Amino acid sequence: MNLIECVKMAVSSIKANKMRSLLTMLGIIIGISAVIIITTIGGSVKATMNNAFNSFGMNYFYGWFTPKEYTEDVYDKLEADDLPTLQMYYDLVEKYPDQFEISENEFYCDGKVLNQKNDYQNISLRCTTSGYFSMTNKKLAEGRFLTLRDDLEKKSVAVVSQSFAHKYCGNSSIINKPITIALQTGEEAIFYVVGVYEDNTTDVERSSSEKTNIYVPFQYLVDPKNCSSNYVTVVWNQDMGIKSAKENFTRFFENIYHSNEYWHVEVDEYDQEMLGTINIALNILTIAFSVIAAISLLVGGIGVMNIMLVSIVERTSEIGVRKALGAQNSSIRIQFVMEAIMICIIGSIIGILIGLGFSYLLGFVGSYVVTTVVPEYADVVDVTVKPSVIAIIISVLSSILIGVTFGFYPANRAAKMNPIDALRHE
Amino acid sequence: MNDSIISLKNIDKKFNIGQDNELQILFDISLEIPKGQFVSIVGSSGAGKSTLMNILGLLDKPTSGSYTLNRFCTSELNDKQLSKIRNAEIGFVFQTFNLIPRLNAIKNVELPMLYKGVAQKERTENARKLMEMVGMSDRCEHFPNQLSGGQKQRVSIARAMANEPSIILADEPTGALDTVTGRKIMDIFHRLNKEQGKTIVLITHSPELASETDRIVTISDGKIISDSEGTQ
Repeated sequence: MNLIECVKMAVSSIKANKMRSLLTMLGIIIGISAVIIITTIGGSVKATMNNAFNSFGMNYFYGWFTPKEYTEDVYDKLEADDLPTLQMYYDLVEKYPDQFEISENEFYCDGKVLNQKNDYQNISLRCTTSGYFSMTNKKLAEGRFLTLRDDLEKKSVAVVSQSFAHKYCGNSSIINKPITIALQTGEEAIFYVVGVYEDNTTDVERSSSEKTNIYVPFQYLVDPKNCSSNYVTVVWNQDMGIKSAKENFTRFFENIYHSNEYWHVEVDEYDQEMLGTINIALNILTIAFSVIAAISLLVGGIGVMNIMLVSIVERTSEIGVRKALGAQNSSIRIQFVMEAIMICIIGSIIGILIGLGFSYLLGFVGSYVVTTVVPEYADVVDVTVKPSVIAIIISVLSSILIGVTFGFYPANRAAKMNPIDALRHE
Repeated sequence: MNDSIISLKNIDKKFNIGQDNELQILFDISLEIPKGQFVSIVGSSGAGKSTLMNILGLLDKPTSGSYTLNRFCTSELNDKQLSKIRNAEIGFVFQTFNLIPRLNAIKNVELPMLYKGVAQKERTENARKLMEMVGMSDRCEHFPNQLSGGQKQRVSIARAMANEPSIILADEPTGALDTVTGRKIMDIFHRLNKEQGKTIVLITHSPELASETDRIVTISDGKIISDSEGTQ
């Protein structure tokens, strides 16, 4: 009797008593669908979260000035011209337009600004590179943000908040107007306003003692040629992809530093690590819950074994007849093991379908909840349903294993039945 | 005898050997059955007919003595080999039909061929011919619970003939049937015996049925007490 015959015989036995077969499969169906649902939820949360994080602007890494190899005395070997300059980073941005922004935001000093009516406002002077604005998702209300050229040409320009502009000159535009900042250091600096950013506070909400940020080009703080940054934030354009961004960054600095014996600039993935940690945590949770769900598979297998034991007692005379007609013990055994396997396989397929169906349903519900409850996040949090193919394959394989394991004992009992007693049974 | 298809020599059968309730059922049974004979084994309940039939059918082994079936010496054989010979040489017909309820008529008939390893197409072809032979061609796809007693027994006979066995062993084949249906079944046996030369061993407790056969062997208390062939 070859394999196909065996399978056919098993399937026809299962079909002969559909209700009982279905009840036997129930444990397997529940177990497998639970595993599928859990693994799909896990995979989907990961996918959705990763996409959302990227959309939120976790699309940056750090350029890190660091020794090629750490030895105890390496810092003794540090020389002034080993250090990277801001100019290098600007060159990087120029070389790969639209792919990179770099950003530094250094707090310089507090100060006061007087307007023509001698009303003053407290301000906080921040020296930043042009990338800062996109990185922090600042929204432009009027004019423009700072650019690279402002830095390179050492322009005295500033970007102020909406509430500052309103307090300073009321309804007229503040663009191109000069402001004089009296810094706490005693210095006085004059900047021309080129842009206004939304700061989400109204004139009335912000009291005059509260500080508002004024952004000026980074070079105000230091001369870019002498500025050294051992930690620079590099923002990369998502459309270009993080892999190519990192590759280009690494290659650029390899060219600069390849002849340097001790130092280089490399990609530091500090924040990406956090994302990675969250992913790892999700993985562990998913596996833990899957294991718990898998316990129900075990129970399902025991159910299969019990029903098979009952079944072979009911079919005692059938077994006797088969033996009388010349069936070998092995044929009987294989017949019943195959029945158990087929029950488990069919059960697992039903379980997978139910599990996937339920997961997609949850996905729809999740999407609906996001768009109605937190619509401001709707375009960023795109609920993705991502089933785990590995989980599906493992489910089917383990269902076969369960069939063989829990079917074997009853099948063996059937095979060892004495035909004379079996025939006498009915 | 050389053309004996069944040769029983000094068969003893004991149960629970070595225990307190040891029981001997058959005592020194010797029987030669030539090819093509229609024999009946008669005896009242408890005479040992079933035990003898189990031994003839290779479902049980004698405690002592030898059983040669179609030149196969059965005492040396292990379970696997016995199954094979049962499959090839013996066709069973039971009093309670013993058709497999979840298989339809033609699949029941195919069953011995399945265990012999015959391919599907050939099996179905042979099964159809056999069903025709017993007059059941119009009910091939019926299930046993859709058939009457007589019809079930006819399917049973078709199944018994499936592997062209040396002998047909019929244990009270008409026991569960009414007289009219039982008559039809006996006619089929006679036909098989006369037209195809099949050796048939019929176990029965009815002397009337036995008288239809070529030879009557009577058993009582585990011994052959008469044999219409003359040799005892």
